Amino acid sequence: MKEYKILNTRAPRVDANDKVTGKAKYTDDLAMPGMLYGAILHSPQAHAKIISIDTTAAENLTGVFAVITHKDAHKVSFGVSPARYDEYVLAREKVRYVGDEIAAVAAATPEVARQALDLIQVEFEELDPVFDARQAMAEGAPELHEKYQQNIVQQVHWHFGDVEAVRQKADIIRTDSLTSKMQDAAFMEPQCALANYDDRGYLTMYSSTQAPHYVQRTLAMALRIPLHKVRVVKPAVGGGFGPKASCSSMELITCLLAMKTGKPVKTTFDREQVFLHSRARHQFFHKMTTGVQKDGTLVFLEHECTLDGGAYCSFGIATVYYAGSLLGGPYRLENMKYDGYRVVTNKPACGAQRGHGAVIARALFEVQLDRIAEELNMDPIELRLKNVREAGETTCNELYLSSFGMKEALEAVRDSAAWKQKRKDQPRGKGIGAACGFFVSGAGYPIYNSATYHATVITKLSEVGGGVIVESGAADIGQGSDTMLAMITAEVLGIPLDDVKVISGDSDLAVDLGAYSSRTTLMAGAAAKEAAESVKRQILEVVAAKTGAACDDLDIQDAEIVWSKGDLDIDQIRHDHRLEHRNFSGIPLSGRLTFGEASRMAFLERGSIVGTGKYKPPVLGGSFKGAAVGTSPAFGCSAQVAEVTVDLETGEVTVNKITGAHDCGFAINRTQVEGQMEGSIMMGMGEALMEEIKFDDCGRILNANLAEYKIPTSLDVPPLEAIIIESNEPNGPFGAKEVGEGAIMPTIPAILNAIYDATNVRLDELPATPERIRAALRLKDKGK
Amino acid sequence: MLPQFDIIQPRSLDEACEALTKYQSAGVVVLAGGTDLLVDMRKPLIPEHLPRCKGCDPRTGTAPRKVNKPPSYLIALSRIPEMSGIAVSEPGEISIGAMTTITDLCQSRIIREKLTALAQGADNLGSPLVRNRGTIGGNICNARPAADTFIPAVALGAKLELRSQRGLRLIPAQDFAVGPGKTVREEDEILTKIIFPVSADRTGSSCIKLANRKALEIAVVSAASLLTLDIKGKISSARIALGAVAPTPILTPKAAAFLSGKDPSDANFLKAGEIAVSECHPISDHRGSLDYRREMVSVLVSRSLAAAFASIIV
Repeated sequence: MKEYKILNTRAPRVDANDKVTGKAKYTDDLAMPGMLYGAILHSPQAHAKIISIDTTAAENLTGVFAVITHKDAHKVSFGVSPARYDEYVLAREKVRYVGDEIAAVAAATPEVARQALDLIQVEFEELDPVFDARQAMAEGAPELHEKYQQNIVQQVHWHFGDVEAVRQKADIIRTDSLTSKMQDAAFMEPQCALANYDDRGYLTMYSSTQAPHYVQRTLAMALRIPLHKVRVVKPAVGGGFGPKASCSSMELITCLLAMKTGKPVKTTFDREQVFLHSRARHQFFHKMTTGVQKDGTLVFLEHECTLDGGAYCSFGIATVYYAGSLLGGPYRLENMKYDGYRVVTNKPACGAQRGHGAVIARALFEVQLDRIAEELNMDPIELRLKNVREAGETTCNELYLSSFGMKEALEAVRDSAAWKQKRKDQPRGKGIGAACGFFVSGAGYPIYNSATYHATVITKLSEVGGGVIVESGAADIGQGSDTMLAMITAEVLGIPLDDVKVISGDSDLAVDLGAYSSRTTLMAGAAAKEAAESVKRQILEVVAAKTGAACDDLDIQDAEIVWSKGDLDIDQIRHDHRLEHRNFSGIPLSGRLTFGEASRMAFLERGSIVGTGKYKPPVLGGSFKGAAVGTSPAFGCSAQVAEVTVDLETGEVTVNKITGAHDCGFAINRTQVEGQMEGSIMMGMGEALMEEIKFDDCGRILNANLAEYKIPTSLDVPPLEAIIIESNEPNGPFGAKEVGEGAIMPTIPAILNAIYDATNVRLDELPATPERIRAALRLKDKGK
Repeated sequence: MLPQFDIIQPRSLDEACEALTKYQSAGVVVLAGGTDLLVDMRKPLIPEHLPRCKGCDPRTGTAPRKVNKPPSYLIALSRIPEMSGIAVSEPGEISIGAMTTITDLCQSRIIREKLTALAQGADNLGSPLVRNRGTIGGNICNARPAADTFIPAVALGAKLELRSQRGLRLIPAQDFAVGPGKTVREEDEILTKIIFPVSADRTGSSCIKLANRKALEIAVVSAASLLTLDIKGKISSARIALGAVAPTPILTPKAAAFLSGKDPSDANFLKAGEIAVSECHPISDHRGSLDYRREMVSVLVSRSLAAAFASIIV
């Protein structure tokens, strides 16, 4: 591998100090003169017609500047996929879940805003609700949206290869099922938006978002403002994991309030509102039938899935496709049938969450592989190794694997976790389990139909010399993309990381579709590399012209201009530079021409030196319906081994260790890659063992807070070992591809397989709480 | 969002009792660490005046309201020095000020040695942040059926000192709660201290909590046991308290009586656990089902007895 100065190191994040000292500004830290506070009236009912809304008393309350309902908004629907726009800024005609937005207030203080909500009268006519996806699809079920027959938003019927033709070739055919629960992404920072609408008709919104670009488009469309007059800025963001990847009603409401009052308005979600707005992981009902030959060769997979997506479509179309398409890898599986149904119910809307539609599908398939291995009397890792694909192969659903370290990852965790020995020697109550995962490195297509670039970057030399400013639309939501952009730029330009300043997450700066589908390093990284290379070429051209050296013989190393033919004559340049900087510190006295001198000279010769970069995936995927979902310029893959102790009397699970290996192509920043792996594992662990949104009979969330919605605490998280596999992805910058989401894929099934190894009981329902494990153990004991 | 209120910070118990009486009609609540009270006082997100659906149980669901009418005054006890601290008050007695923080309990050597179950209950409560603010008095007065220091206080035979302008009274811990969040404390009374009998020789105690994760949890079931052996090594007395299996912390006198005079054997501990099941009245809720709770009572009681026995230094 090529030697790098900056890349592949453990460089500290560019925002590390600001984050740990509390200096970083998040949206809620921002304030503007005259700013008002927004508050939203949420529906107390899960399904009801709105007969009337009376806002008179609220409007008359001192300190209230505006009260809005759907009448104040254009009748323009919005959502995520243009083909399934099904939301309005504020509920029209009816509410569809407890939490649906009915009205909103802007007031001088948050207290007055909340007080005003108490004065709004709403009259409802109750409608029968439906809370279960299977019931929602049944004949005669209450209908949520006129346009969704049987409450089905999207169905998928895929058939790759020919399952019927090969069925008799299988020696073992197994059918298993797995049900999960709706989840919350539990990011640290609740959503917040601050909007300002100026006298020239420009709307600026600061928002805790993952996708300024999509939010900008939605604001312009729903609020009827020219696109170029809408600016969305993303300050520091405390995590997103998917639910912040689309425009929310709250963002639109905040803008409407700002437009109506002519004053800046800020709205900040309570934690409870984070749960109500949701857009997190769907509830999945999976059933899979898999056929294998005696030697372990996979023959076919028949897969059915119903997704409970709550009241609106949100990302649902993509989710139901992902649930099927990403089982195309990482194994050689030539015959795959998939029937998927994405359904609406009277619960908070689900959307995308780390790993998107693929996580629970992956969990069941990997659990099923272990069951098959047991029937074949084969080691589960051996079974997987027998079937894994390699670089250069194409899956049955036409996903091309340009790099693929699946085998290496599986072998790495097997060896590092002492798999073979522990698999044999452990007593009942202790278990070890393995699983693999597969994920896109950036969605191949935008959410709306467009030939747009997915990422552009503008890199400018600071005119005073020495510094570089990178302007990007990329959204650093805590995953570290600003650091990635700075590292790539510094490496290309041969300068220290501290001399690169990144400005990002602003729709005025450049285009970036957002931080979702694990795309930023590959796409924005590629654009940053191209922009930096352009800037470098421009500097060296100027140096070449000034010194007479050939441009191709010049390079920048350690912030100095290096000429492969010897020492450049820089006396005149240095003389001029010193004259310009009398009494300044840090003026070079001897040695080579510095990057600072060269970049200043480039400005003096040519004016501002700007380089631009862009990235757009090539045309990808097959021509079948829905082929776009699952396509990607590259695919990440990972393997994990989980070790657990199960208390057989109480059902409590202690995860003792998880060893993970992930193929990220090339680690731009090793610490950040490990951080993504560790974060993914912790999130997966929570989903495997404790996370579950619970509802009462009226569709109200019983645990809409982080005390009662359980995620792992630091005492629950075991030692995690993160092994980086680098397969050098040809389509990624410096060989890099994703790690942010793919690394969650194996966690749930690895833990479930370890629980089975410890207890001999299988669970068909997530999360694997002590009570569920104990119930399964009791059932097994009775069976004996 | 919190409703508006005024805060009163008395410097002495007398002042506090006076204020509590004085502001009674205006609506007043005593503030200890605030880790429950301030959370429960928040304004509900969805205004209560909006019509609910027909089947809605107003007591559950999104942001259930625990404090019905927001108080106009809070009386903060944090500036009353005599309300904090751990002392050997009388021979054979440890007195703990109601405002003693949970962290102080965790870090006290004498409590870990003499009142092991209480130290373990304190270890199990919340997180370091919650333990730094939360107090034993607040935890007991909040009277949740699963309260982490309340269960061991019942097992260890603690008495609660209540004070008002009308005078002092002592209530056995097991008689204090009368329902979830409800106690025999009168509106003008302040819990001032919790008095524990110091264990005799050959005594050990333990507290075990079962939950879905290892911290920041409300028990699905908890059990605390106090075990004293006679000179021959037989059980001379036992007390077992259970949390989250009844509307209040409860004792299981039948299981305790069964153990009296018996060998401290695993078989007897298991049997006591089975007896305890018949003495609890759990419900099914979103934290655990009735059946699971009953099954776990048996496991936790026998384990806590075994741990109490193991902690006896002979």
